[in-house]
Amino acid sequence: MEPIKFEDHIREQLQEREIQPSKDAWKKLNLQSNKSVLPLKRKYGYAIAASIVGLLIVSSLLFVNQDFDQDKTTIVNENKTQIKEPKEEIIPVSKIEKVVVAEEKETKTKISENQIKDKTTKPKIVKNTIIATTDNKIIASENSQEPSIIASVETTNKTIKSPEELLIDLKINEVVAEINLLQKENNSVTVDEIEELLIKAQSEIHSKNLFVNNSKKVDATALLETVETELETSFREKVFDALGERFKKVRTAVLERDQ
Amino acid sequence: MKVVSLHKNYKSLISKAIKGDDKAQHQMFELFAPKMLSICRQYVKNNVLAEEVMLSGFLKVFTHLDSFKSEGSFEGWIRRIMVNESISQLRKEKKLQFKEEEISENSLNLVAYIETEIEVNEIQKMIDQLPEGYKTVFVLYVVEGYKHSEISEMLGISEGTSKSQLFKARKMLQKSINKENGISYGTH
Repeated sequence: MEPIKFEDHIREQLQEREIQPSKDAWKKLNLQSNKSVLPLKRKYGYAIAASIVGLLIVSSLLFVNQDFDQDKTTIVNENKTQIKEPKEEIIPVSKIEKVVVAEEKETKTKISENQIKDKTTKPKIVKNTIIATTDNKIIASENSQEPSIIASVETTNKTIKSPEELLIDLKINEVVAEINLLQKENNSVTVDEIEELLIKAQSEIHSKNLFVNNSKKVDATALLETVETELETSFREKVFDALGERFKKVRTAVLERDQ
Repeated sequence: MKVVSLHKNYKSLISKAIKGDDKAQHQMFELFAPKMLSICRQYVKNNVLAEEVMLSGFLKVFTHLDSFKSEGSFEGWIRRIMVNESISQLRKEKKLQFKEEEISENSLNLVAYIETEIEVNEIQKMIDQLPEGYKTVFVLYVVEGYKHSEISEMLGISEGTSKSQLFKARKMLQKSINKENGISYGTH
C-alpha cells in the first residue's frame, strides 16, 4: 500500500464530511431572523410602506389645515359683512318700525296694534323664529296653534329687507308725507314740486349707496348713476302708488316729462 | 449537464430566497447546512458552538443574498461567509493570538505521509488539540486552500507569521500522528 500524503488525506476527509445540525436549528434561525434580519426585505417593505403612509397622513393634514384656514378667512369675511350690514343701515330702527306700521296701514293688513304690541312683549319668540328659518310656510306650520305669534312673525318677516330696499321705502314714505303736507298747506301740489322732491330723494338714496358695505370706498358705478341724476321709474311709480288715486294726473305728467 | 442544471436550480432558489420565500430559504438551509456546520466545526471546538456560528453565518447569507454575483460558485460564497464568521467568533473569544517566530524556508517543504487512513473524527480530535492560531492557519491553508498572502489579510497578520503558524501546526500534528500510526517524512 502506497503511503498517503497526510495533508491531502485531511483535506479530503474534512471536505467530504457533513455534520447534521440539530433538529431545531432552522427554528433557531427563524427566531434569530425575526429578531434581526431574515425577512429583512419584508421589514424594509413595511418600513417603506409605513413611511409612505406617514407622509400621506402628514400631507393630508397639512392640506386639511390649509383648507381650514381658507374656510376661516371666508368665515371671517362673512362675519365682517354680516357685522357691517346693520351698520350701513345705521339702523333707523324706529324709522323701520314706522315704515312697517305705515306699510301695514297702507296695505290694510289685519294686523292690529295689539298684535304689534304682542310682538314687542314677546320678543324672544319672534327672534327665535326668525333665526330658525325665514320660510313663512314652515313658521306657520310650527306655530299654527298661536295665530297672534304667526301674525307678528309675518310682520317681522316683511321687515327683513335689504338695506337698499329699506332706504327706498323710507324715502318713499318721506316723499309721500311731504307731498301730503304740501297739499294740506297749499291745497295743491305742482308737478315741479313733486319732481323736485323725487330728485332730492333719489339723490339721497344714491349718495348713501355710494359707500359699499361701509368700507368708505366710493363705488364708481354708483357715482356714474348719481351724475346721470336720472330717476328710476320704479322709484317714481312706487311713490305714486303710495300717493294713490289723488295724484293720477300728476303721475302721468311726470312720467310724460321723463319720456 | 448535471452541473449546469444544478446551477440553474440554485439560481431559481436564490431568487426565491431573495424575495423572502420561506420555503426556498429553508431548502437552501437544508442543502448547505451540513457542509457548513462541518466547516465551522474545523475552527470551533464543539458542535453546539459550531452550530451557533453556522446559524449566524446563514443569517448573513440570507441578508446579503442579493449581493451574490452569479459569476462564482454559490457554495464557495457561502463557505467564505462561514469561514469569516468562525474567525470572528474566535476573535470575540480572544483566542486568536499569534507569536512572531522565524522559521527556515526548508522546513515549509516538509511533507508527512501516513500508512493507513485516519478516521475524520480522529483528524478532528488532532486538530482540536492545536492552539487556535496554529489550527486556524492550518485549516485555512491545508483544507480551504488559501495562500499565505490571503491568510495574512484575513487574520491581520504578516505572511511570515502565517507560515510559522503553519509550520508549528504541522509539527504538532505529526507528533500526534506518530503516536498512533506509523509516519514517514519526506520533501516536496
